[in-house]
Amino acid sequence: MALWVDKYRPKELSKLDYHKQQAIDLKRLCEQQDFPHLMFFGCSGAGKKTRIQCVLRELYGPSAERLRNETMNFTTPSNRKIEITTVSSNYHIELNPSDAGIYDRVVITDIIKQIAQTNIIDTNGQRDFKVIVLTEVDDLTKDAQHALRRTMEKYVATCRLILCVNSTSRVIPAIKSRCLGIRVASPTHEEIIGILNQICQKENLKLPAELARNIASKSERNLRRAILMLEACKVQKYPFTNNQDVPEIDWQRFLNETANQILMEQSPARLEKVRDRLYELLSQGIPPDIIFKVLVQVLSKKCEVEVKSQIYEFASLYEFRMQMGSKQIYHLEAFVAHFMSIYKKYLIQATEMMMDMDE
Amino acid sequence: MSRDIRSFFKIDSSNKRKNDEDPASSKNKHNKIDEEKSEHKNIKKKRRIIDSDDESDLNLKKSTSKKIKESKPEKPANEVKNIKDLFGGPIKRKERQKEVKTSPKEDVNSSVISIADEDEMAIVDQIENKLHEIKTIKSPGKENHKTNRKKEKSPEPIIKTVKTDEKKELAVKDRGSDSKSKEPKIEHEKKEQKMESSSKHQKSDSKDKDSKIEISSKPKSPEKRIKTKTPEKRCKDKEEIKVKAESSKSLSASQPTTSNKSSEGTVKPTKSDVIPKSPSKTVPRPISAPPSYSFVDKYKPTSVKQIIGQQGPQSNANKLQNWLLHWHRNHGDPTKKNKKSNPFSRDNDGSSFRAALLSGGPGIGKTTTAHLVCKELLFDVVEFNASDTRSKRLLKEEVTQLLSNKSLKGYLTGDDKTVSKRHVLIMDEVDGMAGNEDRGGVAELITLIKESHIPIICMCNDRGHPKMRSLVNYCFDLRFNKPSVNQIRSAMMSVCFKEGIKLDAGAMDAIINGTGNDVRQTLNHLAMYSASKDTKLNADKAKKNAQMSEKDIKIGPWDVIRKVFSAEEHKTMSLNDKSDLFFYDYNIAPLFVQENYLHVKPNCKDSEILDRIAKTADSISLGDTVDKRIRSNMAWSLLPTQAMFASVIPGELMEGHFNLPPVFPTWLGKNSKAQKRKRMAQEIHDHTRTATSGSRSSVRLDYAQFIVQAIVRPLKDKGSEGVKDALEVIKEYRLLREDIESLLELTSWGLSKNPWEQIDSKTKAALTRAYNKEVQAYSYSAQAGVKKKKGSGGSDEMYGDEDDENVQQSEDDEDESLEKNSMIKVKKATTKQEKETKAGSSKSTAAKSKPATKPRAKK
Repeated sequence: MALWVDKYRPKELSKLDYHKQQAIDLKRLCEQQDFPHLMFFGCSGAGKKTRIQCVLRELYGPSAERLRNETMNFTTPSNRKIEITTVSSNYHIELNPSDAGIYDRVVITDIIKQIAQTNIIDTNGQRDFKVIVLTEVDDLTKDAQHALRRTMEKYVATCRLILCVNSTSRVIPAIKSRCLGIRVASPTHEEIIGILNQICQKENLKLPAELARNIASKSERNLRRAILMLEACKVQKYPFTNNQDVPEIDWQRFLNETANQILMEQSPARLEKVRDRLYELLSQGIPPDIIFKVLVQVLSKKCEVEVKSQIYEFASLYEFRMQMGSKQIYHLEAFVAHFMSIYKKYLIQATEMMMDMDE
Repeated sequence: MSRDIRSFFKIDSSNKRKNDEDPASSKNKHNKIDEEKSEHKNIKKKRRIIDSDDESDLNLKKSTSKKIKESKPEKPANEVKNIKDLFGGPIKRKERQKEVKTSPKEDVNSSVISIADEDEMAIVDQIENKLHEIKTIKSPGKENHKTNRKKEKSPEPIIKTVKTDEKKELAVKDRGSDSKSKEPKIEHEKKEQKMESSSKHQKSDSKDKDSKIEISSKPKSPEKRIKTKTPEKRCKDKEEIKVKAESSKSLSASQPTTSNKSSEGTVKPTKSDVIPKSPSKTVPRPISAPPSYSFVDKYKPTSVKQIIGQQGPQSNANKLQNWLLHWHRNHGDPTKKNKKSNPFSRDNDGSSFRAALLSGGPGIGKTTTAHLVCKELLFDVVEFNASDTRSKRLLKEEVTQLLSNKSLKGYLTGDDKTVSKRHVLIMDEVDGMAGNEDRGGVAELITLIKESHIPIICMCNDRGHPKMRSLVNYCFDLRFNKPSVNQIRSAMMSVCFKEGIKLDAGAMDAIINGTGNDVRQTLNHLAMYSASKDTKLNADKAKKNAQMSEKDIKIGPWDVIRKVFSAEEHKTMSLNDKSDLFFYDYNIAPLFVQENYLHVKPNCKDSEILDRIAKTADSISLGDTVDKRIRSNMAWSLLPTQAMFASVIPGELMEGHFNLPPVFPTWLGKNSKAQKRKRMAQEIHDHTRTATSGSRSSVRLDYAQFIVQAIVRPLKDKGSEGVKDALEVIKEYRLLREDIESLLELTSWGLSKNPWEQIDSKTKAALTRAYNKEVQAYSYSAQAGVKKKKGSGGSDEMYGDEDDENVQQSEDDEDESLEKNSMIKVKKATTKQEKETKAGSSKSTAAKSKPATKPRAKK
């Protein structure tokens, strides 16, 4: 019994719920003999992978859905043995080169080249090329991306690449220009509500409109999260009520608590406590940019415009520094320290003004 | 009496040299009677200079020994006749000319060779060799006496003379404090010479030995005769020289050797050039030390008792002595197995070890102790130190050769044909065995120790060093501690007294502290003070100087962090000093600063504190960007910049005092935890990849919590009936059992309770059973098991333990229905895993789970 999010994932292009025009275009693209390299980009939970899977099915038929896990081993020039896991069918292979960390370049040069160089033997296959799906390409190092561009051109006869990217800003222009970019925008709230309702229909549940809207807004236009939340709600309490609590995701709750702690007290001791919480978040694998984002969102709500602008300024400064540096906690902490300093001054000023007013 | 002996002893060293010169001078004289008088004069003059040098040296040392000195200089000249007799007829003209060429510039010694016939040369050589070999057989100090004794006694077996000499010499040594200063040098040379000679007489054929022995008895007697007659002859020579000196002025002026100073310096190198291996090389240096003689050598202890901090029965020196003394009794018989003594007991004498390892900081007397102990026990020392190449091959070749050496004593007395027992191999600075040169050296040393027939003494500074780890197990461990300030001070004060340095006790303490109780370093400092003529050194100045030198002493990160933020320390520190703090360990310093800056209370208004903290954090964050630059671009020249941002500026901003004690950086631990969890998330992502969409981070951010809920909730609500539902989820997402653990860890946030613990243990066991029964092996299953084994222990116990018996039962049943071999494999892996997790939590469960694995193992 899979979770709903996987259970009700559309398998064909024609069954997609939103971006329907795009789906039609993709279908036409697949019907042609030739097929360009594709780059799907969009936020997490927008449906990139779903569309890639659909495209593959469109290209190769249902047998592209028969997936298997494989582990590939390779040795780096410095003689380290690295293994990465791939998911593959007879026609395609999906891998995430950034799994190999700083050795991602070796994955590109060795494994991908090796795959690309071999031809498909299956004579009754519909296509004379196979597909390599690379995920999280924006996390690749620049070296690896450069290694990729030659591969894309050289082996175009035997294989096509489908890249899956969160943000194109970190992909080098050379790769961008070699691909047909397909933007998968996050679904709107309405689209999410529509999908949630569909699922409830299939599950024979009755979903109150209010709850659906709540879930949609809490999910931050992340469809995956929305469906997971819906299921959690169902498990928590059924039948649904209109103002039912939508369960927050664990790390979100923790992060919000942290932000509230910063607002409650500004002192070195509190800063140290916050540091511990930030450490916990980081060690749990919560990306630091998300931490930044949530903190800024929560913290700036409590401030006036002028203070807000300062907060944004510092947040952007330290987020930038974080990208330039190596120890994320330093920059998060610096941001929090600055916020505390600014906020305390702001509070003192505010109380003084209140006093003046009273007088 | 004692004085006489001492003076004899002193004269000896100069005599010895003269002995070597003797044949030359005799020949010189003989030939020069005919013609070329000027040259004759020159040589003589030169000798006179050498003689007078000797004399002045002696005068410096002791005025009491004058008598003997006066009588001494005549010796060499006297030899002339005898040697002429010995070698027969006048020397050919050609050779004389050769001599003429060489003599003005070279040492008189060199003329020995130039004059002598080849035959004669061979004989002389052999004599010398013989003398030399005997020296190596016997322990220190005898060559000084040899000639001396010979003069007094009638010809007799040489070895005996040597033996008696030795005793006397030891006695002399104990009494005379003066002679101490000279002995280190002598001993040093002896060492070299021993090495040389031992290798030399190894090369010599066994055939040679008979003839050698003959020779040793023959030519000695003439030599002795010569010496008895020397005095008058010398006098004559002198007078002659005086008379002829003026006439030969022009010639002598052109000779470089006539300058008074250079008799030592210029002579030596040429000497060794001409006769590379002749024993003349071992001639002791002039008795009084030249001014360049360092304090360290000058005041080197000459007996074990004088070593600072090595008195008493429990001292390392004493232990080493006992160990060495009983070595042959303990290890002499290779067939006898030694029982291992308890290495931790206090009175462990190390009898079971074939080697000793002396460890301790520099300058506290390890090498000195080893050498002196060997000397006092009359062991011969063969030393290898860091200046020798000690690779595996070389060690094997060189050392095994040396160890199987047979001493000539055995040949001479005819009774001892076994390997000499009186050798000690000293491997100094073993921790310096590093790099390509010495590769495999330590391993070879260990095999050497295992097979050695002689005791081996190893020395190192840091016995905790990883390279030493293997060696430590084979060695009698003797750890040298730093001597206390008091111990050093008393010894140093006596040195000061002798050198005429005025230094009060406070200054001395400051110096000693400044060097970190390093005796050698302290002596070096004293030498510097005496040389700078700054005799009025007071305690303050010394302290200052000591502080200057203290800078070079490493302080730990804990002290560094205190200094970084201490307002007190900042008063006396320059910017450079502050940035130097960072460089004590630039890897850990930024971490310490970041961890601890919040514990400091800066000296400022309370309202400013947060501001300062913000600025500090900003600087630290900048420092981190620099750090990234440095490490990713190898831009190490940026280190000073990082020092500013990561240490100096924070220190400046937060200048004050610590509210809380500094703590160790938590970043390291948190980072490794983050890495571990990242791996877990990666694994889960890999496993669930076929079933889910989404990247690793989205699996972590979105899926994790819900999957855990989907598994846990049915178990919690419905008990064992919920097993089916839970298993459905596990199967759908192709999770392994250990993935559930990982998921639980990833979704736990410290305070929140582990939902797994709330589940009834029976239900858990049921789930385990069902899982084993139904879930097929995945391609990654076996692998995951292996990986996990290496990884973390101490994870929460997952599976119910009460039903282990049942589990075993049902597993037995299902085993029969098993068809796939791969399945069996997987199960083994998983049970291993199970065992491990249980071992981590409780022993009893581990014991229980063992029988469960057995039936499967049979299959």
